Formats: sequence, C-alpha cells, structure tokens
Amino acid sequence: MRVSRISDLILTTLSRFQQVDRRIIYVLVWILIGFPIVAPHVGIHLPVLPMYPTRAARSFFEAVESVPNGKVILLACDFDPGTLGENGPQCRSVIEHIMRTGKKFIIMGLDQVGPTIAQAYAEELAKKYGYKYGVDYCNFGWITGGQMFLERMCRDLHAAVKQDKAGTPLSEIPMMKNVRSAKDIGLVVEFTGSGLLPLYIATFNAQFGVKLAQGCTGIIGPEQFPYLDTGQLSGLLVGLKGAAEYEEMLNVVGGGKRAMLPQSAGHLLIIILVALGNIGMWVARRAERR
Amino acid sequence: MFQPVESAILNIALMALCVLVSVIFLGVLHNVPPNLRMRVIMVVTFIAGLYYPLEFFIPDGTVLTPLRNRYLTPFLNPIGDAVAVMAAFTVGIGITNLCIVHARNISQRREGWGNSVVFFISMILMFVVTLANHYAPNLFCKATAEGMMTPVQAAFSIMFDGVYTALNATVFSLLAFFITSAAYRAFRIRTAEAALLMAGALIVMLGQVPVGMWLTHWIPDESIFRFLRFEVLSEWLLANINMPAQRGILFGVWVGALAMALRIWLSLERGGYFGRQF
Amino acid sequence: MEHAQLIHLLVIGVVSALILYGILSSLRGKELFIRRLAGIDAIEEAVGRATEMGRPILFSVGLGGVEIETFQALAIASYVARLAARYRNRVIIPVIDTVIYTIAEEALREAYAEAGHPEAFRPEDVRFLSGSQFAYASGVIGIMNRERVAANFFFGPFAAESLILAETGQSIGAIQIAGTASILQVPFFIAACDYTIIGEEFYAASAYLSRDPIHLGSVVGQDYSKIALAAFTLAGMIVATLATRWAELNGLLKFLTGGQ
Repeated sequence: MRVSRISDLILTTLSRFQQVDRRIIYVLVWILIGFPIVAPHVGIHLPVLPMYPTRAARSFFEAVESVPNGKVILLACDFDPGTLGENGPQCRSVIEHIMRTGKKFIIMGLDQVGPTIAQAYAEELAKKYGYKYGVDYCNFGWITGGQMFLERMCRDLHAAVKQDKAGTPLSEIPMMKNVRSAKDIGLVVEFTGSGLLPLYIATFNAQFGVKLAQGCTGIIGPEQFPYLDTGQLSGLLVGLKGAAEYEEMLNVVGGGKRAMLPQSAGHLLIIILVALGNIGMWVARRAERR
Repeated sequence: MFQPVESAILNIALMALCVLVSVIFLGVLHNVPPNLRMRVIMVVTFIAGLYYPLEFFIPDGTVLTPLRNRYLTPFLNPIGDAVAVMAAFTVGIGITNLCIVHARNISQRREGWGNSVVFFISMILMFVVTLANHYAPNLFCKATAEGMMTPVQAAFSIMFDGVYTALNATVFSLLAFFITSAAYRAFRIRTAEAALLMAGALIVMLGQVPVGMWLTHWIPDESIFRFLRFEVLSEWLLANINMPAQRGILFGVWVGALAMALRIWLSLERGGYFGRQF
Repeated sequence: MEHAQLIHLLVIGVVSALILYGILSSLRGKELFIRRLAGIDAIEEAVGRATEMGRPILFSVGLGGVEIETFQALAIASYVARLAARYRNRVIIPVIDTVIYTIAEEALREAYAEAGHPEAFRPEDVRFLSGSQFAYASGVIGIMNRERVAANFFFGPFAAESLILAETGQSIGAIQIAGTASILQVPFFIAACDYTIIGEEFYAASAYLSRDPIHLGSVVGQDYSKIALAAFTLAGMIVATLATRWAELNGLLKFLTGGQ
C-alpha cells in the first residue's frame, strides 16, 4: 500500500511535468543565461569552456590567411543591432585576425548600422596593432542599390563608391590607390543575419571569382551549407559558436567564448525541459490507459 | 562612358529638366484611357526588364557577342548608378509616408495618436543630433582630453548606443525565452518520425555547445569511433542530411522567384494592386 | 564569368519555357489541379471561431514592403476579410510599410463593401506600427493582448520576430494559421501555430483561393520545371560519375558545369 502510494505520488509528480507554467520556464532561462553573464562583473570567475573548431571555421581561418599580399579583404557588415550579439563577436575576431596578418581591409555594408559597429571594433583594435585609417583600412559606410550596385563595385570601385563614410574621395585615400575593382579584392567576408549571401555569390564569386566567407547567425546557418559544399563559400562561422571557434584559433577570449557558458546552459535547459515534458506525457498516457 | 562634369548649375538644371519631363509624362499618362495606360506601362516594363537578361545571357563567342560588347555592356555602369539613385529615393519616400501617416493619426485623434507625437519628437531629435554629430561635433565645446566626448557626441551615443541599439537587441533577446517555451511545448514524441527528429535535434544542439563537445571529447581523434563525437555527428547531420534538403528547398525558392520575375516582366501578375481583383 | 555560358542560357530557357507553358495552358482553359491545403481549409474554421467568440481577427502581412510575397499575403488577407465581413467581424491588419498600409486599407474597405457591410469597416483597424522589425513585433503583441484576438493569421515574409508573434498568440489562446516562404521561420510557426503553410504552398495558396488561371498555370509550370531540373541534375551526376572512367566525357562535363 505504502509503496503504491509512493509510486502514485511519483507518477503524479512526473505527469505534472507535461504542463509546466511558462513563467517558471522564463525564470529558469533568465537565471541560467543571466548568471554566467553577470557573474564576472561581481567577481565570480567561471571557467571558459574549451572549443574544438569545426572544419567550416578552420576553412574560414585559412581563407583569411591565404589572401595574397597586395590584395585587400572586403568586410561586408550587413547586420544591425538585433544580431549584434552573434555577428559582433564574429566581426571583431575576424578584424583582429586580419590585423594580425598585416593585411588591409575595407568595411562596407548593405545595412545602415553594421559599418558603424565594425568601425568601432577596428578603431579599438587599431590601437593594439598600429593600424591607421586610410593607410591600412577604410570604411565605405552604408551602400544602397543591392546586387546591381555590388556588380558596379566589382567592375569599377572608385566610380561606384566615390568617397568613404567620412566624405573623403577614394582617390585621396592612400590604400585605395591600387584597389580599383574586384580583381584587387582577395576575399569578401560577409556578416549578416539575413539572406543576402546570394547577392555576393552572384556578383563577386560567380562573375569575378573572388573568394567568399560568411559569418552568419545561428538561425540561418543551416541554409548556407550548400554553398560551403560547392565551394562558393570558402568558410563559414555559424552563430556565437562560430565566433568562439575563431577566438580559439586566435587564442583570445572574447565575446564568443564568454557566451559559450550561458549558451550551453540554455541548450541544456531546453533538452532537460523537453525530456521532462515527454516523460510527463508518457506517464500521463500510461495512467489514462490504466 | 560619360565623363562626370563638376558643375552645380548643370546638376540643378538636369534635375529640374528630369522633374519637368517626369511631371509631363505622368500627367499625359494619367489622362489617357486606362487601356492605353496599361499598354504603355507593359511596354516600358518589358523594355526595362530586357536589358540585364540580354547583357548577361548573351554568351561569349556567339554572333551576338560583338553587339553585346558594343551596345549593352558599356551601359552597365551608368544603369547601375541610376538604380542606386532610385534606391536612395526610397529612403525619402519612406520618411515622407511615415510623416503623412503619423500626421493623419494626430489630426484625426485616432487611437494611439500619442505614439505618433512621440514618433515626431524622436525622429526630429535623432535627426538633429545625428547631423550635429556628423557636421558640428564641437558645437558647444571641444573635447577636453583624449577619449572624452563632447556634449553632442555624448547625446548621439546615448540615443544610438544607449537607446536604439539596446532596445533592438533587447527585443531580439526575447527569442531566448520564447524558443525555450515553444520547444518545451511542441517537441513531444508521438511517432517514430518525431523520435528520429528529436534524436537529430539533440545531437545538433549538443554539437553546437562546448558542453556537448566535452561529453565526447574522450573519444580519440584518430580512432574509427571519432564519428561518435557530438561535434562530428552534428557536422555530418548538417552537411549530409540538412544540406540536400536545403538544396532542394533552394531549387524551389529560386524557380518560384524566376516565375515571379517572369510574371512581372511580362505584366502577367494579377491582384487588386495590378489592375484586377479576385 | 562575367557573362553566362551556353548551358546557363539553355537551363534558364527551358525553365522559363515550362513556366510560360503552364501559364498559357491555363489561359487557354486547360483544367489544372492543385491539391487541397489543410491550412487554407482551416481559414474558414478560424474566422468562424473568432466570430462565435465575438473577438476580432488579427492578420499580419509580415515584414515585406512592395514585393510579391507581401502582395500574395494581401490577397489572402482580402479573402479572410471578405469571410469576416459577412459576419461584421473585425480584421485588424498591422503593417510595417507605409505603401502597404494604403493598399491594405483599400483592400479591407473593398472587402467590407463587397460583403454588403461597408459601415462595418473601421479605418483604424489597419495600423501602421513602425518601419522597424522589433518595434513592429512589439506593437503586434500589444494589439494581441489588448484586443484579445481570437484568431491570428501570419502570412508573408517574416524574420526573427515570427516566434515572438506566434508564441504570444499561443499564450492568449488564439487559433493561429501561418504561411510564409521564409523557410527558416517555418519551424517556429510549426511549433507555435495550429496550421502552417510551408514555402511554395504559400504561393500556391493564393492560386488555390483565387483560381486565377495565371497563378494556377504558374504554380503548375514551376512544378514541371522542377522535374526538368531534377532530370538535369541526375544527368549531370551520371556524366560526372562516368567521366571518372571515360576521359572522353570530360568535354561534356565541362559544358554541363559551365566550364568550371
């Protein structure tokens, strides 16, 4: 009797798991994701989890390393503050890598805010690596016109863009003297949370053979794999994990790596809740059948 | 093809001429019978849409190639410039429409008209501060030390970084809560296919985070069981199961886009907004 | 490759010809079949439920501006509005684009007029909320909660805010039907909505509802062209495989891959 009461109690408790109040779920999410983010600021040191870079991230790394001397890297920062959490660490770590290799780069974007954010990263890292604006990097700012304008840029950069974000004519920017078209660009790196990659594939890659790499948000990551497989993409960073992998290869601890603990906690919470929900559902079903 | 001429008077004259021609053309178009108007629009749409396909799809090494190189390819850059200018116009149209809509809300005291007042205040404030930050950052005083901001720069930083960027990221971060509650509610295993889907989801989720990688890191990299590591399995699922499916979907999406483009180009598209309603 | 190769021209030519063949066949009166879509059939059920409960309907046309996916969504919105207008039920249409705002207002007004209840049309039911994605999402969930809508329709292009909208609708107990060609948002709609129309079914939906010959013909033509593309892919696979054995096939393979 006593055993059956205990087992009934257990079964009743388990069956309740199929309908946990969403407010409890929200509180759990808040605690598990918020605590690892806040902890370092209150003196609690949490471990940085080890990362194992995937093939796609390693290919991205090698693509940046293998840009020939004399060619520049074009950073297409097509993201806005909404996806800053994922694209921001990706962009920052790639800029740091480029500066370490001593290559020149150009910032631009089909979004209004992305180039501004990237410029802030570049200015911060430029102090560390001795980069100078106009000599080692420059910023075209927000580009309008979509694919047709990208095509225009590929053929004649100076005629298409004319001046940088601050209004300086490209002819007066030292690094742009020998950068006239897509032929002078060794790699295009796009950071985005939306489906803009086909524009770059149709222009830079398909028409002018320029290598492409992309840092995208986790949600659109699966959609980019066909391009990786065909070689149209030379490398891919997916979400915060991609940023963390890149930081691992650079041997730095940045926003990506710091976010791995909260992201792990969030994923584990989802897995546990889904498991509990299913257990609750099965237990309830069995009880009904009896 | 055309060498740019630096002349403000010429630019203004050209702009005035373009506006005049456009107004006359639109006025004439507005006054002709609807059938004729439709025909004019159809012809203009067809000709405008013909340029890029012809320029791109005429291959090298055909009898038409010299004609393409002589009469089509040289116009790529000017037409690209024109498209960029038209795209930039949409920014102005968007702002104008926004102002008209919100002004109407205020004048007619529609429900929520207070939000429209807030809209105007926010837009004007952001506009003024951004212009000042760009053209006159030292408007009130210069920065006193390296790294210090002037009042104008501080105002811009507060409004952009502190308000706009933060609010955008905050609303986006709501997704973390909603994904958790939606996943908990919806992911119930009722069939064998659902079980398979769940197993795949579990592997991919664990493969995306270091904790999952840590769970199987003890499997040696060189052994034949390397494929059982979560990150390897996850990558295999994404590259070999997910990718063909995505490719199939992409086929459908691009064929659909081509069909849409054909319907618009040939003026076959229907709907109340294209002249006929169902 | 600044210009297309011959193979690209051939493929695009064949695909376009099949699509146009479908459209022309339909215009000539050929009967074309599109299978039933469960989500479309559920529209009447959802409108009826909202009317019985005496609560309004919310129809979101997504994030798009002047583009075909938004127009398809507006076409379905007109259909929903005509159903709702028969019972003088309200349809609230929040929009993100000012041009779409004027079109949606006109479409809703005409729907009520056609149903014979022009007086039931309320201009304030078409609301321009914001041009920004998350400001729009915040506005829509605010409307859902304040108006206590009984049925939500999400048709059109959506992005990350799709789950915010659908999950909020779920929490207030509304019946929800979604349709989008934005494939990445489909899993969220499937998790949170009662019926979801996926990918190309969304384009087929407007053809299914309107029975317009051009839409019907286009959908059927697209199916033909996908079969042709699958056949072409299979042929390419066979040639690529055989070319590893017989070097004479390398020329054909190079032609099929556009010289790459």
